[in-house]
Amino acid sequence: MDQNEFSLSTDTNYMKRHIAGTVNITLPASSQQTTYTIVNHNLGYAPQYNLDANITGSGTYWYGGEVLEELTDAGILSGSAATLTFPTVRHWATNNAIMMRVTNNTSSSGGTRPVRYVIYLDYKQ
Amino acid sequence: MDPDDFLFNSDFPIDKVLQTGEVTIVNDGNTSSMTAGYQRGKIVTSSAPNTTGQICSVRYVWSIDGTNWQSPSSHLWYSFTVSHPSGSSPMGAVQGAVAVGISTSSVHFRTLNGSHGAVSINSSGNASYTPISRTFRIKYALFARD
Repeated sequence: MDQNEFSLSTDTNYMKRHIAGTVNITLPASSQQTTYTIVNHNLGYAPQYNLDANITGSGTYWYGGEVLEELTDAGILSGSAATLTFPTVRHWATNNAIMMRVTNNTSSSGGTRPVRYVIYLDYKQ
Repeated sequence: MDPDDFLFNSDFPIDKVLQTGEVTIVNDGNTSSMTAGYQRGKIVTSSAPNTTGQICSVRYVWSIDGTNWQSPSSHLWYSFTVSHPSGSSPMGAVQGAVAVGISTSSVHFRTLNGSHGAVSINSSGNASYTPISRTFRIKYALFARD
């Protein structure tokens, strides 16, 4: 074990945490979109944060809830629009909350998915 | 500046990094076996052991040229020309993107490569193009949730 792993020095910048937690969202119905308030942080500014989600229900937490697939951002060369198979996730911070928008591209409706977050302090823009 | 911004003591939890690593994934971008009609990418996956014993959170950066390191959510776009019987037109697509997930035993990597040369569409609507292989490098760190 490297002893430096135990050191904490003021020469280094650290990301101080505000809060961390997990919330469960219910996927929207097939082909529908829902915007969720993941957590109210009430910092008064948009903070840095980290978010991941077990968005497919397989037990793997994907950074940002994004699971790439062949048709991610696909364009149409001919024929009709592409059909995705995983939910599409977008997320963002406001002065008071972390928000998340989920589009259910699957043919099945509903299902609970855990979303985890960590919010950091002091990184005001 | 708020003086509290400089405050640091042991009451503040910080990220504790438990595992770091780098993986290299070659994605040839060959989508020829896939259904025609779309500008699509190829997915090539890989994984590494998660030795932390917990489902950590992850940070990572990735690169396809070894010089410019992208943020996790970057989708690198490029443009190409589509030639068809009635003329030609420009089109955009993703040449690279990376997703990383954590399970109890593994770190999962998914790379997307939609890189290719100019596209030619014949009178039957079939598209042809030459894929461009990309080598993805991903540097990651797992940090504890608690």
